[in-house]
Amino acid sequence: MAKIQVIDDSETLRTQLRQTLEKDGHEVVEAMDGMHALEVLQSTKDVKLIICDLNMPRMDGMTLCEKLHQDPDLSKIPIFILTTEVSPDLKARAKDLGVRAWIIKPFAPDKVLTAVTYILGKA
Amino acid sequence: MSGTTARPQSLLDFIRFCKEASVSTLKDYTHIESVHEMLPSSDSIILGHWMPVIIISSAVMQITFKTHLMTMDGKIFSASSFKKNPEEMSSQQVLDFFKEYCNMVGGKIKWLLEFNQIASGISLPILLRGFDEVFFSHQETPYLFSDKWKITSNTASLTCSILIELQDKTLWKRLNLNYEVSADQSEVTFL
Repeated sequence: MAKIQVIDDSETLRTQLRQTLEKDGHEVVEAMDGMHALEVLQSTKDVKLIICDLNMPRMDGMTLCEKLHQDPDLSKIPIFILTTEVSPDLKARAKDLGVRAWIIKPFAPDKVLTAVTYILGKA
Repeated sequence: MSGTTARPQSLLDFIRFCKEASVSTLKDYTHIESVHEMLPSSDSIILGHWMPVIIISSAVMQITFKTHLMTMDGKIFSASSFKKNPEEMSSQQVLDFFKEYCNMVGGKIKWLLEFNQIASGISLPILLRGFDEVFFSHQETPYLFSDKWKITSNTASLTCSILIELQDKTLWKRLNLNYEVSADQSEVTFL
């Protein structure tokens, strides 16, 4: 089981994701936006997966992905985007930044868990 | 809300898309199967205690999607999503839930614009008081349309409304609404 960071400005989404992931035995660390996520990552070791919203205040998800991509250590952590956006251009840009999966809100818990298990198994 | 001018079919189809997006999203988000659309039951301007809003903006049109809800109805819908009793839901949790609901419906509307090669941006969801609807008061013109509809389950209801402001009046002639739900909208895509 793994430590997973969940980043979303919606408390509702963070809570639902935390409940989903904790039921499967994962440990969840939360952040409210990209800037908060970077602060949390500085003080939290062994994060194995990041699940991140795109449209957030202060620092959006794509900017966060760019920051993570530039960091030699943090760039190794796989990222899932959890969003309402479906733009192919955004997906292509995310893929270039190392994003591994794109999840559309509202999410189905079983499908998220399947994707998490698959990516963590490969990592 | 019927307009004072005849509405083009593609505008009606666009509004139909927004209505279906609002109903299907609420059904998926709350897991309440009985959720369905109804005609609005009130002509009142103020339709609830709270009014979460999201704006989708492009060079050719701006869409304001609003949800109008009473606190107790919001508790019933959101509690179902969390599998809790409505009394256990705080006002903050309810309002956060419906801001995110607006965000999800807005995302679907944005998808339809992108399907038509219309680049657009989406705001962060904004929470307003129900009384703030007075600031959206308007008269329908060939450039400005609105509609509202009620969504109800067996135990709760809310009202959704949409305000469409056109920058390009010819848009309705070229808007393609013959979409199919594609792989782009599937829940999980590996990149």
